[in-house]
Amino acid sequence: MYLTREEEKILAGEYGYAYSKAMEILVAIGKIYKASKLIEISSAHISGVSYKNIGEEGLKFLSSLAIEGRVRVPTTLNPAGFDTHKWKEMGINKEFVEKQMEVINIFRRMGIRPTLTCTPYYKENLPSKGEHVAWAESSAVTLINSLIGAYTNRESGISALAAALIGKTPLYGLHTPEGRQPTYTIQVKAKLRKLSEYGVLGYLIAKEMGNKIPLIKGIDNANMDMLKYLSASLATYGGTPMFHAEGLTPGYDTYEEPRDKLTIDGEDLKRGFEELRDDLDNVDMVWIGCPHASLEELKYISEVLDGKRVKRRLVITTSRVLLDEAREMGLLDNIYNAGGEIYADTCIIVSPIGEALSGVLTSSTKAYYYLKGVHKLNVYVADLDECLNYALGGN
Amino acid sequence: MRVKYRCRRISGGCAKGLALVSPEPISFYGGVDPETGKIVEEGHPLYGKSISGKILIFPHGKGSTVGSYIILRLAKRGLAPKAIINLYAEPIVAVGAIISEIPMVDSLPKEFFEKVRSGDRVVVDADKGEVVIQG
Repeated sequence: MYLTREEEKILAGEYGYAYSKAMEILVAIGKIYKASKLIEISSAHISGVSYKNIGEEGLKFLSSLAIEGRVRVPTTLNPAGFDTHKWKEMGINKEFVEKQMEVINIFRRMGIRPTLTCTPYYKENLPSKGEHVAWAESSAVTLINSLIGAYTNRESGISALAAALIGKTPLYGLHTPEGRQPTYTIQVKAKLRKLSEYGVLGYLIAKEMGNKIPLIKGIDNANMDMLKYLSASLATYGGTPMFHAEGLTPGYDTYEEPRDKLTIDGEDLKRGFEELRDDLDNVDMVWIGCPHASLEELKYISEVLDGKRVKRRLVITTSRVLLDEAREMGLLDNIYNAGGEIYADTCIIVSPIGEALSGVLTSSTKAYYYLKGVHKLNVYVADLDECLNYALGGN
Repeated sequence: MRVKYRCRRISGGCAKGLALVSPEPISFYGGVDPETGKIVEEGHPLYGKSISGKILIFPHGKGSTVGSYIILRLAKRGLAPKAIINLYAEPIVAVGAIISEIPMVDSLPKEFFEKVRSGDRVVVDADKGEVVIQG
C-alpha cells in the first residue's frame, strides 16, 4: 500500500504512540485487503463501548490512546451498558457504573461525541451520498451504504477508532464501485407492511446468501424504519455490508441485474417467523428498540398505550436525542403512565440487565440472535403490535 | 532439520516456542476463554487446549470483532499466544495482535502448513518476514 511521507512519519511514531498504533492498524488492514492507499473520511462511528465487552484491559488500552490521541473527524459512539441518567432504576451495580463512565470519558477526551446510540443516522451523524466514512455497528453500516449511498466497510470498534484518529481509511471493498456490485437478485413476492417482516426478510436472505450483496426487487415502498430492520438482520445473520433495492436505493440501476435469483414469498416469511420463535410462556420482558427506536416508533407506541396499563414488563430503548425530542412532543407521558420503561444510551444486549432475564419477546430479529447466542435466553420475535398487545396482557 | 519460510509481517516482533496447529478457524469472542486461555468452542479440534505461550497456527479468524479485545485481555493476563501464524490474516485477529504487541505473520507457502505439527519448535521473526521450523 502506498503511504505519503506524512503517513510514513505517523507510522514511525513521530506524532506519538496513539497515532502510530492507529496507523499500524490501518496499514495492516490495507495490506490484508490489498488497498492501494489511504483515503480521507468525513466521519466515524465507534462500537465496543460497553465495559461488559471490553473489560479492564480494553479500558486501559483506550486510555493509553487518549493521552494524546484526538479524532480528526466528527465521531459518534455506540450504546453503553446502561442509561446514564437512570442506572439506579435499572439496578446496575456501582462498580460497573464507575468503570463504564470511565470508558465514556476516555472516548470524550479523544474528542468523540458520546451519542451512545446504534442509530446515529437518525440525527447525530448522517453522511451524504458518496461520502467516504469509517463506521462500526454492523446494522448502521448496512443502512448507510444502502439507503444513503455513503461508502464504508464493516469496521470493528478499534479499526473505526484508528480511522477517526488518522482521518483516513484504506481504499478497498465498499469504498470502490466493484466492491458494491450486487451478485444475486432477490424477488420479494409478498406485500411487506410491518417492521418485523423486514427483519425476517433480511434473515431469510442472509441465511441463503451469506455476505454477498443482493439486489432486492419488490420492496420499493419501504421506509427508513423498515430498512433499519432489514439492515440489522442482513448484517447479523449474513455479515452483509449492503443491499441494493430496485426503485429505492441510490445507484441501484448502475449495475446490471444479477442472473442468480431467489424468490421469497409469504410462505417463506411465515416459515422465517417460526424459526425465530422459542417458548412464549417463558418470557419476562417485552423489548422494543433494537436497533434503537425511531421517533415514529415512539409515536406509534405512545398512541397504542394511550390510557392503558401494561400487565407485563415493557422496555423501550432509544437514543438520548430522540428521547428528548419525544419528551418535547409529549410522547413519553402515555408510555410512563402505562407503566412502560424507556431507556436511552443502552440496550438489552450490551447491558448487564439482560443477564437476569429468562426470556424476551421482541420485534427484532437481531435481538433474537444476540439474546439467544450470547445471553442464552428464550426469545420470541413478533410484530410491534403483537409485542405491545402482549405487554398489555393479551396473548 | 531446519527449514526457513518467507512470510508477510502483520504485527511486528520476534518469538520462539512450541507450535499449536489448528486446522479450523478460531473465534476469539465466545471461542476462547479470556480467563484461562483455553479453546472453549464445542466441536473445535483444539477444544480444551490452552493457546497460552504457544506459536498459534490456524487458517484465519472468524466471528465477532469483539475478538480483538479478547486477544488483548489474554495478553494483559499473560495468557496470549507468543506469536500467531495465519494462512491468511483478517482484521479481527490482526487488530488484536497489533494492540497486544503479539508478532503475527501470514502468506506463507502451502508447504509450511503441510509440514508443521503441534509440538514443533518454531521461530517467528515478523520484522524480517521469516518463519523457521527447527523440528
